[in-house]
Amino acid sequence: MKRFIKLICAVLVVLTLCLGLCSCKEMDEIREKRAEWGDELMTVIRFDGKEYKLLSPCEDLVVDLENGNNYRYVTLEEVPLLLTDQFGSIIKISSDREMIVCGHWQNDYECNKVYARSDLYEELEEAIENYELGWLCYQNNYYDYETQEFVTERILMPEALNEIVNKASELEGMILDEDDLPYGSSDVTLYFCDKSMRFVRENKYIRFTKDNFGKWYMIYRRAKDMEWVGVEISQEDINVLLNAIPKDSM
Amino acid sequence: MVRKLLKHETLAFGRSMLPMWVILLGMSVFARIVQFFESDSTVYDIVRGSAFTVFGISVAVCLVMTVVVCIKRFYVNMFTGEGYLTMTLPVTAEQHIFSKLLISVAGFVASIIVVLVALCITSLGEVLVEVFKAIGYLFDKMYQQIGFHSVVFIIEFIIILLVLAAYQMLLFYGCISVGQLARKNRVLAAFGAYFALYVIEQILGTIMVIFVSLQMNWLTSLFEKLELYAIKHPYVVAHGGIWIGIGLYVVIGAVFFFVSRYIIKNRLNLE
Repeated sequence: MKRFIKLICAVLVVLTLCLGLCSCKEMDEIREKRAEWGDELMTVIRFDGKEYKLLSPCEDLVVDLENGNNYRYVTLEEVPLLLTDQFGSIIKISSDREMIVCGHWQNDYECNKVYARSDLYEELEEAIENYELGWLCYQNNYYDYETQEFVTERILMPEALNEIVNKASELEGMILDEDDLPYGSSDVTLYFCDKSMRFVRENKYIRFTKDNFGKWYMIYRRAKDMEWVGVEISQEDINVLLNAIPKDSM
Repeated sequence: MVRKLLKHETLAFGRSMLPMWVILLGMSVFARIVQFFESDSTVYDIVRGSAFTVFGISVAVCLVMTVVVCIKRFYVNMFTGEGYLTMTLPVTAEQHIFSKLLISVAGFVASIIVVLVALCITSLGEVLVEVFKAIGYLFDKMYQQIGFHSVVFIIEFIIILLVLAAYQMLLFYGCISVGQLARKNRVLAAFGAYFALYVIEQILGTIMVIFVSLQMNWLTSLFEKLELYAIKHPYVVAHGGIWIGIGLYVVIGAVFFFVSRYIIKNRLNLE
């Protein structure tokens, strides 16, 4: 009996030691989400076998990012896996995996450092210098029950809406208190972007809001440090917007 | 004689705790083996969750049992029928209390070590390696920030743990000894003594707070001086504070020690 018990214990010990050689799912997941700085100046990121180089300094610019809560972390190589989120900076990957965005604080504003994949560096450098944010896009955020992740769908607004916005911006309008901006029974927010929607300026946006009497207003700010202005929009003009966005997204 | 006392105390403690430790290590092996079958299925999640819940409960039970066994050893050995035999030994009351205290603290440390070994078994493999890497990295960072003081803080932390363990045991010994002064329901009286001590502690704490708030003007200037000194010599203040705390617990523990000793020496009345 004693021999039998000793044999069982020996088998369990050997099995446990052998199991020590197996990998662990959680460790693999952390490894997948981890990127590493390629140099001490933090101008290069190594992720998924590719290198990404710093493209631009601080900009209040956001690229079209991957869907879902896909935060990743970039750390120095010496930082252990389990401390990745403690000693790392959060990064997000663009949906086409061409760019990485790393947020950091500068002068009390959160800015983005954009890193481009090294094989597309020159092309993206030119695109960032030459993009024009003359278009508007709508961000439809919803939860996809099939994939079980949050999805952001960007829809480019028609050119006719750009003209409506430009015309309304030239009107006098009411000055609004930034801390008490009105929110109506319906609200639609549009962001400035380039025509391909590759680059979106999330800090500059226009909001259309409907008050309790059914009137629509456009609320916007002409420049970063200027006041908020509210301008009434006609129903005919608003229909251009409402026809362009999904009906159940408001 | 004291060495023999310690030897028999250790054997008695081991007889009680060894099965618990074996069960705990067994649960850790089971939890590790379950992880071998890892998959995305719900069944695996349930089994794994259950294995870790059972392991967690085993850890808690092991630690609680350690304290219970230590208290029970003291009570049974000194104040029940066994006490007649114990008191015939050529050993003083201080030596009795001291040997039991030493084995209790050592037993608690042994239980902690077994729990840590069990945790290591549960995470054996890549996770364990990463845990040690993370601990080494954090210690390295701490050493870079505060230098040699990091080592001193760790040593002080270990000393605090040992002193607190000893203090807690002496508190229990003191309450059990005070409970023996009652004629009937001595165990209940021991609980009553513990509760009364807790109430007295709270009252004294409240009186201190009231005293401090009434003496605010005088104390404000003292605190300001202390603050300025702490800014210039932060580590002196930190280490000083820790050692004052240790000293306080040693003094209070010594009070309970002498209370237990007095009652065992002069007021023992075995049933």
